[in-house]
Amino acid sequence: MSPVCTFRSQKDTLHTVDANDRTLILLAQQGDVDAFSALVERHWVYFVKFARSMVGEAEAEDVVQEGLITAWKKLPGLKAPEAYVAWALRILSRTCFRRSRRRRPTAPLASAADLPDERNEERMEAIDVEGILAALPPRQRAVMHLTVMEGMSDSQIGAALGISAAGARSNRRRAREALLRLLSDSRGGWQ
Amino acid sequence: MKDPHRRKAEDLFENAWRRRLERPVRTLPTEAAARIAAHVGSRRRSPLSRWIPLAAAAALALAVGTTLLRDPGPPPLPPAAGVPGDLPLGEGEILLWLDTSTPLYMTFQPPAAAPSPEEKS
Repeated sequence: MSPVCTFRSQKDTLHTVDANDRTLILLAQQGDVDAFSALVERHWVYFVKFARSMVGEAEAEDVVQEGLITAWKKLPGLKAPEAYVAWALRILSRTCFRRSRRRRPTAPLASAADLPDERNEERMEAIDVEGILAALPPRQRAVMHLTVMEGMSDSQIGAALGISAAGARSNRRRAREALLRLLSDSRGGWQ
Repeated sequence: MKDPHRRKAEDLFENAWRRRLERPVRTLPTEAAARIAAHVGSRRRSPLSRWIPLAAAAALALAVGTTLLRDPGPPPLPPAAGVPGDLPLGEGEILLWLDTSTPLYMTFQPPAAAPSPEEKS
């Protein structure tokens, strides 16, 4: 039986579209740049977090900007304003997939894990989070972010990434197995 | 039951990941919004914008079609070398080219005078 890596979400609520967003989306669909600008402002941090998981800190904001410009061009085609976040995430994830480069983690987890508990801050800073995430295929990275950081269900992840719920489950299972291997490798073996 | 070391590493990684994502963004939301608005504003979309290329294409097609219909077509082909197309034409003669190498000479003559009643009898 394969080991399972159980990541838990600490989020209570999902990032969704409220009534103000809906108004802004409808105006932006008519070509109102100011409304789109307000929409960007409201969701910027959320999208940047997603992009950080996908392409790393250095490129995240550029990728979000590129994705949102694409979203503006395609906005008239959005049928349901309520689906804006998932729809924009799908555009952003495609932008991220194009930019993603897989690489191996550069700093071992061992050094962090071996530090005593009282030096927790230092331990977390020592982990090459970007390197470990970048070792996953981009779609698995996206599924893990939406699961662990956003607490989304399989169907919500599927809608955001343009895959089925079963596809989201399958990607998450493979991502967890891969993460477990990466964590084990960087730890230098658990046994 | 899970290896406690493994669980510890997973927790450590997940917390470190969350911590990285919580770092402040380099570009504030207001700045990002202004930058993106400036970019898309220079390509402002009007409700009619998507019809403009279509209307331009239709106008171009109409102009080309009208020009083709009014065009009398290419000038008549010159006679091919070696074909006696430049023979002087006699009175009442006309020359038609059936193709580049086939001349057709036709001669028109006035109708013969109608016979008088005496001639009829």
